[in-house]
Amino acid sequence: MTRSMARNPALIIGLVLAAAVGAVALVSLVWTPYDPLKMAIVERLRPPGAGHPFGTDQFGRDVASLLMRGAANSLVIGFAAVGAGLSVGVGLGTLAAARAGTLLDDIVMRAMDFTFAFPAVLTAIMLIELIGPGTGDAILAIAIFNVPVFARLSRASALSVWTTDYAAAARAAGKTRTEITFSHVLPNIAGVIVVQASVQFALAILAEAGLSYLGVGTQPPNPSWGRMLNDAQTFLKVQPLLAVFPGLAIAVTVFAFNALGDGLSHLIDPKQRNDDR
Amino acid sequence: MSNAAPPLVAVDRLTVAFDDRRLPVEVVRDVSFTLAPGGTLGIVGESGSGKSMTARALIGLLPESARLSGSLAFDGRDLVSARERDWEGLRGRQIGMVFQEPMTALNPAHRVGDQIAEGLVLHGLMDRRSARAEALRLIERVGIARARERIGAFPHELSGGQRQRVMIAMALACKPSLLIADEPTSALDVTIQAQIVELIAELKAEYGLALIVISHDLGVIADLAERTLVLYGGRVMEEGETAALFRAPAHPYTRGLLAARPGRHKPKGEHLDAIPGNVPSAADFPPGCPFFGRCGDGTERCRLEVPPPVTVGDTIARCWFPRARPPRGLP
Amino acid sequence: MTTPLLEVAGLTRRFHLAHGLLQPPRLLTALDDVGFTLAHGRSLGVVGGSGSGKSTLARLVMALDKPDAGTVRLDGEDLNALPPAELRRRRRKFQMVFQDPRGSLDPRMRVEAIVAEPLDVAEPGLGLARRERIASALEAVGLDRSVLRLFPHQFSGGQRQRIAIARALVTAPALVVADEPVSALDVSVQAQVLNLMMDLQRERGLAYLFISHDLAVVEHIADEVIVMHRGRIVEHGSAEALFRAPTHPYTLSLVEAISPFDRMPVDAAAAPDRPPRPSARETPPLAEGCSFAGACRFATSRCHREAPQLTAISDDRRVACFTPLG
Repeated sequence: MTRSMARNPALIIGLVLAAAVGAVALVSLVWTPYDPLKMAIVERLRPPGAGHPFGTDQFGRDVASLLMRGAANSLVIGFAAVGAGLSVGVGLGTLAAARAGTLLDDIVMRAMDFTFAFPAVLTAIMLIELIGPGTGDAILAIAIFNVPVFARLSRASALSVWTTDYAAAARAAGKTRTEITFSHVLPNIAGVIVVQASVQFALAILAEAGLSYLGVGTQPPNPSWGRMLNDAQTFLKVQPLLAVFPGLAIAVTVFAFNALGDGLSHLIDPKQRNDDR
Repeated sequence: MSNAAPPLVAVDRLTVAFDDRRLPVEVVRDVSFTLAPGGTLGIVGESGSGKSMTARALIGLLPESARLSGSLAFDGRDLVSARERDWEGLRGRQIGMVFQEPMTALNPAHRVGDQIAEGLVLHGLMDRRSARAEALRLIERVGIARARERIGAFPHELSGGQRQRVMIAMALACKPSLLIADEPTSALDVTIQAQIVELIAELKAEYGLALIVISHDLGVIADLAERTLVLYGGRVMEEGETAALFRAPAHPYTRGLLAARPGRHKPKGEHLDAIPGNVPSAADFPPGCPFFGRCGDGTERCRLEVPPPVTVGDTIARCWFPRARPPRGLP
Repeated sequence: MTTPLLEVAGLTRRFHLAHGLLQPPRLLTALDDVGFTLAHGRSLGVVGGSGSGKSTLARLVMALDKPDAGTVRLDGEDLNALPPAELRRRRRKFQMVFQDPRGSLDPRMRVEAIVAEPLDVAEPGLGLARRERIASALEAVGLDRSVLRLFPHQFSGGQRQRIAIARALVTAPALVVADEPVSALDVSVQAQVLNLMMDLQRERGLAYLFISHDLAVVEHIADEVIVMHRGRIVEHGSAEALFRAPTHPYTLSLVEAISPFDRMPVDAAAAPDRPPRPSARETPPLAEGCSFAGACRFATSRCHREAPQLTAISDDRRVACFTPLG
């Protein structure tokens, strides 16, 4: 394990960066340099400098504090959305695979095609009508977008497990399809699912930024990186750095999780392992 | 081997090593043999015997990480230090190759006729038109029925046996002087295997090819090879005329291998003479004779010292205690 | 008459071949009207090339797949007529060993969990006795109980096949279906596994349905043999007689294809004036008639028109040929 990590820089970089972002988010829950929601109009649009390392926004709020609290919001949305999408998607995908070729399989997968064809933004806007604007509908919209991604991937991976002799042996042993799904299919597809999850997590952060930018996701005064980017555009001429910092935060986080996914995929790829010759 | 003609292939103390956990693991050790033009050599061995790596070394297709030592000469040219460009001129042109699984060796996106003709055009032997005509002739020659229809087929449209025939046609297109067949029949049905063995034997005579056939299947080796090398743990255990080797093997491994097969010599349902134990992984062989531990007669000397070749009867065995005698149980 | 352990009758399985968007769907008959019986403690060998239907037969006997027609009876019970829960309970009586132990053992499971799989279904709630049962199954195949916590990749091919056999034995079945159980193993290890299978049969009165392309192995292990060609049984008889005096030309071609090195002595009187063995040319199959007619040197025009039925030609020999040899 340690040896393979030494030859896997993507995994290390991804882990370190993701851990750093996570740590910042955690710290922001108990401490930020300033209260991120406290306005101070006199201090507005300060450039980076003493007291405010990243400057202040149009309401005089401390950008560093906003970025920290924004990290927490973005990560929570990402985790919740990917977690929900993964759970439902993998559930449906493995169910379809266990019943491959049946009507149930067809219905599930056509439903997935339909969902996938639906733009996430449209879903989000519809959800506002249903549950009102807020973090909840961003999470739900991104989760819904993720369901077919995980359903398709897990169905395809599960199908290849179902064709193995050990799955046939389990059936010959008398195990039910559900039992086989839990004992053989899920453990053997977990690797690819985790890799995909890290990639989807990066996408979810981008999506949340996009939705907040459109005013659909996190609502003011709560900060998220997407909201900060949105707010910054009005003052792009006056203080362009206001857009640069949240943009950078998004870029670093997305990169971290993409690297993590890449590293994990190398780790679980059997060809990368030192197998017996 | 005849003394008159210079050998076509001369391999001397060939060793192939890989770095595994910073320790070099030798998968082929000290393998030497020569092959005269038109001669046949069988290389028999189990998984981990080094037979595939030996074959790959002979056609310059070892993985990048492999380290080669000893000498390897084809038609008088040293190939240990040959570059990829030198190999490209040899492979397909002077050395033809047939692999175990033709499906992976053929390009699935190209018609088989074009794949056969490609080699001829590539090596500048023919223009495209005459190459196509030659491809048709070859497809007929390797015994594919309805050659005119099949020339335009894609590999997946053919059966396993037909694909292997196409591979043979490709290997022979440029009239090489050496054909290397690595497990040429292992993926095929029994009846097809017999046909392919017969085809290779026919073409060898017709083209005056030298042939190196590599297999785990003693039957294929017995059918095709005049001389045979028995490999185990990367080392040559025994070599000699195939008939002599099978009649009176002097090495306990050869004897064990022959006796372990069910068939003519064992009454039905009786215990077979199994070789005890398992083939160790490449790093776990003892410093001396690799067969030490599975051989009934081993001593401390066998474990520590590599036995030198000894001529026993009609074969040469690398064993401290060679005995020329029929395999256990054989009449 | 006692009920045979396994009774297969009229077994037929067809597969739909998806073949391009605009082409009509094609039907492949993988198994066509196959019938035989197997008594307790006996071995039936199944030989044939790829596409002969022998693996489909194994899957149908194991009730891993449903036939389009015909029945598989175990101790007189039609497996496909049983409700799913009943079938699962019956599975302790018939188990399977697969060709490649690398594929038939879940790489992420420990040996204990692998061998326990059929046992947990057959006898749930064994408690402390569970581990003992698993350990004794492993001991029966020559593995020490210290391997319980190991993973499959820590074993050699032969040892992995022993684990697979232990899994098949743990519920004390009456029938083991073995699909090419030694083909993926090294020659020096094949004999070990075959010896083990013969010992287990003697000790436990197992019946084997033993599928293999290797005639020498089948002849050594099996009491009776069925020869399959393109989904049909073409010949059925006792192992010794069938290989020494084949009456179906396909059986003869199988026997002749064995290298002289491995060849069993063929009874020269069995086919006095055989046409010479066909050359190294391929022989395409025919659309109708006997499936072997295209490659058969004895074929008549009738063979190209009609398919012969499997008929008894003596007490212990059935053959599907209009002009059986011998």
